Amino acid sequence: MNAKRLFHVSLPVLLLWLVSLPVHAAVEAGQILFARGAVSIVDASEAARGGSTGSVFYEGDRVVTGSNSIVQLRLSDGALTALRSNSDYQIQRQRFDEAADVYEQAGRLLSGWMRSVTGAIGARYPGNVSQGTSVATIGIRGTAYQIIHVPEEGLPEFPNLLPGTYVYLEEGQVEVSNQAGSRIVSPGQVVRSARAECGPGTCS
Amino acid sequence: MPPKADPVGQDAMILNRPFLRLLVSSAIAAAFSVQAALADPTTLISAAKTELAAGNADAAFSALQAEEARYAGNIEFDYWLGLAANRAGKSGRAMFALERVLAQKPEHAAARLELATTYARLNLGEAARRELDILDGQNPPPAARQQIAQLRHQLGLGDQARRLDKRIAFVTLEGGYDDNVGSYPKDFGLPGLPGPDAIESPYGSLSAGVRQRVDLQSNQRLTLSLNGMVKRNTDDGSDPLGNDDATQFDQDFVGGRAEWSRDLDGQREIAVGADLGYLQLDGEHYYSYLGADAEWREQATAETRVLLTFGLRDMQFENDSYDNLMSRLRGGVRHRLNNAWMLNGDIAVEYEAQKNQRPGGDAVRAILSGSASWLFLPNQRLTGDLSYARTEYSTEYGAPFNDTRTDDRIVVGVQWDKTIRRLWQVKARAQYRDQDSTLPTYTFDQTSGSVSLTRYF
Repeated sequence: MNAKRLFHVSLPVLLLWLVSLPVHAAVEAGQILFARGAVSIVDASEAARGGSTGSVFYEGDRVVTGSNSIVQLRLSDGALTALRSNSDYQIQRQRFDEAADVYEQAGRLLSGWMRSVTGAIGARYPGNVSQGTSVATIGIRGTAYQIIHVPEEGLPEFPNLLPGTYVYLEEGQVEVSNQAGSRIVSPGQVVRSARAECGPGTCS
Repeated sequence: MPPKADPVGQDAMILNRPFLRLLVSSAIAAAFSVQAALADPTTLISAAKTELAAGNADAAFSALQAEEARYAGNIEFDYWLGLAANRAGKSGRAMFALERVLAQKPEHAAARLELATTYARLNLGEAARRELDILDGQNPPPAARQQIAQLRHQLGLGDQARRLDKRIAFVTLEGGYDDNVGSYPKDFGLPGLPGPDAIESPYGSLSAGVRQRVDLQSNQRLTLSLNGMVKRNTDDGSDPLGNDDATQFDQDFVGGRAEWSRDLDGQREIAVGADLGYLQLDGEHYYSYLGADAEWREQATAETRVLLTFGLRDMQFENDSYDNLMSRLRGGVRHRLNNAWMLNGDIAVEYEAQKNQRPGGDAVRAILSGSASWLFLPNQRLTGDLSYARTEYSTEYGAPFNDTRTDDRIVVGVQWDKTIRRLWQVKARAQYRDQDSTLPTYTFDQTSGSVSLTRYF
């Protein structure tokens, strides 16, 4: 194959790749570090694709686990998030660009159990990291924490837990807040937010 | 004009078949060798082990963590990453790596033991015990059994600390020596009348107390406490030195307190309390009090806690003329400098409103106090404390003084304490008090020393 033919063959491929670029213009948020069991990645249009070790996920994607499953996510700033069975977690925002001084991270646990360890964003701008559920927002000031969100219909993994968001802090400090108030959580403490209109740790 | 070089021809020359074949085969070979090297973290693990053996856990962790995205899922890599993370104090990270090992190889006993250690460090006692129970079922070797037993012991101590935080009782036995048991003045300030001889005496005391915390709601608690003390001076005046009888200052005290507190947001707290106490000297009522206070507590930073207290206390003396209502405003700072040093500082203003025409009338007192504690060993602490108080009385004392009274008091103390297995505490303290006054009869100094042993339940 001479160079001219190579050029003629390559050009359409290059154009096709360029045309396809907008499809992948979503911001890459990280990749699955480790997965066992049924794990899928669901994009904004509700299209699901299989999630396995090495799978890339984008800002706005949800990572959903089935029964007897575990997945560990590594975000672009080095933060780690683990999900256990029957969990549904959305990467709402993940912007990390040291050169441009962009540090933003936000996630939302729709259901299930997660544990996180903050990465470079949390280390440098802890105020720019947050996790949310339907009843509370957790501002991250610490380094390692667990969140369980039990929806109204309950969670098979945690049959004894009442609905609400439970935040357990392992290291550092986090702030749990909602429309009714906020609360700083210290290591070893568990704070439950029962409802959005009920301040964290105040309603049974 | 010479013809321009044909770029296509140049490319064709570069991309001629033998050259292209060589390039492609080289690239494939390189790719395979890189992939082979990358797929095997043995060299990396060996280097990390060397660093760990040399005590460089941070370096080992950094090297392994840098390759986590590439090797996560490799059991050997994950185990050593978890171990290095633990040694480097990165317990949160350790958990991720060790849980990956066990998700693939549940029988990996070393990883499970390491994970149990991590859970214990993070106060996840239940999770730690669950892992230890699994290990017990795997018939571990004697060395591992020993480690499991140690970890269970540590977890037990943690449980005990949590239990004691909820309800604690204590008994303290103390022995000491006081060179001025009755705070006798240095000088009566009256011409021709020599000052009294201070009464020196060894003493022994027994005190006990109990505190119970009741969680009313997740952010509200009630704390009840009750304590008592019996202090006996041993010099009854029959010694050859000719001391006065020190037993007239024998003390019996009983006091109680109830406090309701509400955690506002995990950082700020309000508390309202009431207390009462009864003291008798040599078997007779000396004073009793009933008080109430309100306190604002705020964790200003991770290291600094700020307190603001307002309190009222009704003091009833056996001699009614000394009865007064004392109001008190106090601001305090508790600052943890680092893991070894703790600094405390308080400033307070008290006002004593007389009830029955007491000598000196009303009094206002300003108090400055501070202390520094140095935890020089995990269970031993040295504390130095210093306080200064100035009290000014509002009305002139009658004859023979005919002057207003202002007291300046300094107290300095040094204390050593050692806690043994969290349930025993040995303490030694030396203290010096000195009071100067515009009325000589209220000047005194006092030096005392004591050793005590406390048992907590």
